[in-house]
Amino acid sequence: MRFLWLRRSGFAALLATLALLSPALQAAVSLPASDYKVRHGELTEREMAVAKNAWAYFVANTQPTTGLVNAVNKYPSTTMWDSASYLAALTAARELGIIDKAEFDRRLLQFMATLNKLVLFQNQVPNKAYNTITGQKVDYLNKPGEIGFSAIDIGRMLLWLKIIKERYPEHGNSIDNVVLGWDFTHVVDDCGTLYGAYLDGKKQPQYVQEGRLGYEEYAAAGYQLWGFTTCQASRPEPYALADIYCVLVPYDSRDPRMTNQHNYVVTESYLLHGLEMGWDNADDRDNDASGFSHPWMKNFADRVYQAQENRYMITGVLTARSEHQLDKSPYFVYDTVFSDGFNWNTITDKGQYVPNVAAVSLKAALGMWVLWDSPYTDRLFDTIENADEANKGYYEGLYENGDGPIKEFTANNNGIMMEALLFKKEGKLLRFNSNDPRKASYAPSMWEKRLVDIFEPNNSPRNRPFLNVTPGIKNWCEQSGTAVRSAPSCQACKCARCDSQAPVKLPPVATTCLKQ
Amino acid sequence: MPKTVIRIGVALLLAIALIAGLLASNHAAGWRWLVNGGWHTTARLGALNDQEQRWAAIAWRYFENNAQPQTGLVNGSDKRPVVSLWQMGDTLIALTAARQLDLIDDEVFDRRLTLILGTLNRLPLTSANVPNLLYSTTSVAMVGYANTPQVIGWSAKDMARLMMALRIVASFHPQYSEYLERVILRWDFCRVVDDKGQLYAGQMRNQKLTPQAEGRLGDSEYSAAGFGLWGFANDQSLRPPAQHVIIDGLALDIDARDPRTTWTPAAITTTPYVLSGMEYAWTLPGADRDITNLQRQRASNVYRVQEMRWQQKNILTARSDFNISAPPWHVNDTIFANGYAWNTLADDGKWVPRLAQVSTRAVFGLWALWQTPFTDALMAMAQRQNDPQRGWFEGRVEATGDYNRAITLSTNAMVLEALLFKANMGALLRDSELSAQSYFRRQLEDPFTAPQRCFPLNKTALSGNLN
Repeated sequence: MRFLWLRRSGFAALLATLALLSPALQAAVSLPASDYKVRHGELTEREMAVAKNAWAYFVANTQPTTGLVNAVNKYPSTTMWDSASYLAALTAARELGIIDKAEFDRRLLQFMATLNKLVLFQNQVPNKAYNTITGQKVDYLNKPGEIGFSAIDIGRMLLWLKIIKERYPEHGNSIDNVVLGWDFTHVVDDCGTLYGAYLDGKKQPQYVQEGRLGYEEYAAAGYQLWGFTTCQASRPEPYALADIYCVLVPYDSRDPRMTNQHNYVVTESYLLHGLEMGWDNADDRDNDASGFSHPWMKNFADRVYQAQENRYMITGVLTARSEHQLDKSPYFVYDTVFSDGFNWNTITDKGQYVPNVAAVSLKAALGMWVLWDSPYTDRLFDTIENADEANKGYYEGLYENGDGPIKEFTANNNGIMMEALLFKKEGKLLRFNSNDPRKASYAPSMWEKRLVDIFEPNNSPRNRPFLNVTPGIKNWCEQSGTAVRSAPSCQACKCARCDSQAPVKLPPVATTCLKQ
Repeated sequence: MPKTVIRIGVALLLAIALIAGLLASNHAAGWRWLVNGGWHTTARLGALNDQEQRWAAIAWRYFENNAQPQTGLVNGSDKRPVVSLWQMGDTLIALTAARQLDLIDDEVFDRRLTLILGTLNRLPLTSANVPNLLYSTTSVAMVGYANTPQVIGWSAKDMARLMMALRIVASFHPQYSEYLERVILRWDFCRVVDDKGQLYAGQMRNQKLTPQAEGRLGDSEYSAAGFGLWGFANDQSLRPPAQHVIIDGLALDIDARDPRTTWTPAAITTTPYVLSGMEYAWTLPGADRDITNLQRQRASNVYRVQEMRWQQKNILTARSDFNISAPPWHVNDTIFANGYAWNTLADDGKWVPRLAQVSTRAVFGLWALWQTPFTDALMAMAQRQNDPQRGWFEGRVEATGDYNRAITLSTNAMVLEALLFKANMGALLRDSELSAQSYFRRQLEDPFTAPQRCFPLNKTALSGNLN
């Protein structure tokens, strides 16, 4: 009943309550969102139709020369993030029976070959963008060249490579080869902070901390799955709270005016963590969909969801916010729950306020639908299920101001929609296979065998992590006579200022206007 | 036994007489202390000590230096002969404080007040019969920002401050009430306040004065109070739309209207809350109990969040707008504005964080209303930021510890107002209702003399501050 009264009483009553009640923050109140279940079960015909419509995007946009998929319809460029979304779509298509194993294998073999042959940024990790026809690294105008790398994009790619490696171990070798080819020296530091790279005016690479609350921890999970410690990136701090329709929504408190990075709060980062990681810790091998072992991701995700449902209840504006493309200038916006100081901010990458292009993002809507089973997300599904074009996939979004669909199609939007549907069928998408490193009979993968070998020459130069020597790995080392490369015993020598075991104290979820 | 009873009786009588004597002395300041809740307030109440008396004298020095002998008006900033209506209000409050704190005697007070009253009652008005934003202190001509003759508009906020100050003078010196009340009877309120109590500023656009709704949460209620004192409708301005922002776990109210689409900054700053506290004890004329409680709570949060910043980060914090003697000249130094906590903005909205400062006026306001280790610490650093020959500086720069040596009327008036509040043992305007015998009420009630310029119509509207 906690929040239902809002539906009965009107906006005026809410305002009066807002005005009269003391603004003391309430720790005891819980959000309705925390009681909504995730959706689970076989897909209905309607849902299956959505998956097929979304897959149409990838059919239309796969490049036969490379096996890469255009990030935006007909525009032959992509990033690691968007390619990971393609891997998500590919996995969903196979698991939902849209394509068979043969089609899946043919697509993945070509894709992995291309990924393995990519010319990296300064011989480190993949460049921010690649041409999907030629496979060349490119600049923002899709001209050959290099511009830097994104630790966040690479994190999402690592996460999906791990998901595929666990689900389909037959592709594990090509996947391990790709990651073994990357040099993480400038990507993760000793305290587990993630860094992106860009070229300065003199074409020299500059490495700067990358990622803000939500995206930073989501990307960090990808690194953790490959054995990296990401202490600093995985902590929620520094954050502050915004009061958005009575919900206390956390946002990254690093000042965007001083860092040139927007601190946007959107649905996408939290929902991807929910779909792929099940809001679990990276070392949680349990596939149970109802337990959430991550200390705060589910809690923060509920707030971001609830703020949007509340906005619909209070203002009537259907809300599912994410970053998205546009079919007109400025072509790309951060369409947020909060960013750069303001609730419901819609800004360009330069920070200009463009409220008229706010939209219901389809990927956000479908992600919310599957992760929070509520009457509100039923409405979201009804709203978006037919917002597609034959042989093109789903529209990027529906303008909030009534201007209709954003007539642009992207790999990310359609890929996330497909993985949301797969989540309904199978739950948490990261499914560890039965080859459990905790067991003595464990057969380590190539990645592990290389990383625990003290004589492997590339381990230190490429800043590869120290793996936990589990019984399975220990057993293999003994049998094969491998000298074990293990972490220095003193953790604090590596990073004194971050303790990944420090408990996270959850902030209050709502102001008193929620109390009833 | 009876002897003991008698002794006790005598002792009790003596004690009562002693208490009564204490309460009645110093113009019944003790009595005010008791009835105003001095025994359970956070405020710093009591007679000034020698040091505080010196602070008052330094502030008064500004007025002695900057009063214009022909007009009685005081320069808005040191040696710059321009003044706004807000600053005219400051001048009247400073003058009242100077008399109450015995910095001047009745004769000097009368001479200075008489000069100002004459000027105010002859003040040139714009074509809309409303005072201009700025006046020359030497010629009393309406001027623009460059101190050249020009009509540039009006501000209901500034008018409200002067309207309130007229009443403060009258409450301490009722014999001048008639002439004080005449000042606003000359004005036309039709375009300044509507019947719902929305206040309007006037801006010069294409050679025409154009009204535009004025006031954001904080300023809005404080301005509303000035109009409510005289019986004008003020309900809408007392209830601006609010939303929360959260700073260090504390929820503060800010105006809900979007500064990006309305081009009007929404800010939380100290000044309107401490002025409401010192003048009305937050019981704003026209406000019901809920609004009064809300106002107290908002003021308390504005205090608390600055105290918390000092406690947690060890940054002395007392925020208010201020002047500097270099571009951008005027800075809005806030607790929260346009999306960010502790935002410091030039008038054009540009972010100027290096200019943030501990504001002298905010320090004195917080110091008077909250007697705590935090305000002691603020005052320990602020007490010397003055030039005894010229008055109090605007503040001390947060980033460098330098003095901001600009000297303004408003800061020096605030020093005097805060000290007057302390010595007065309570709010300056506790009894804010206009008497039915007042010249103002008599004028309005007589259909043959009532000015037809949107003054409050009936008696009920005139009842002003009744909770």
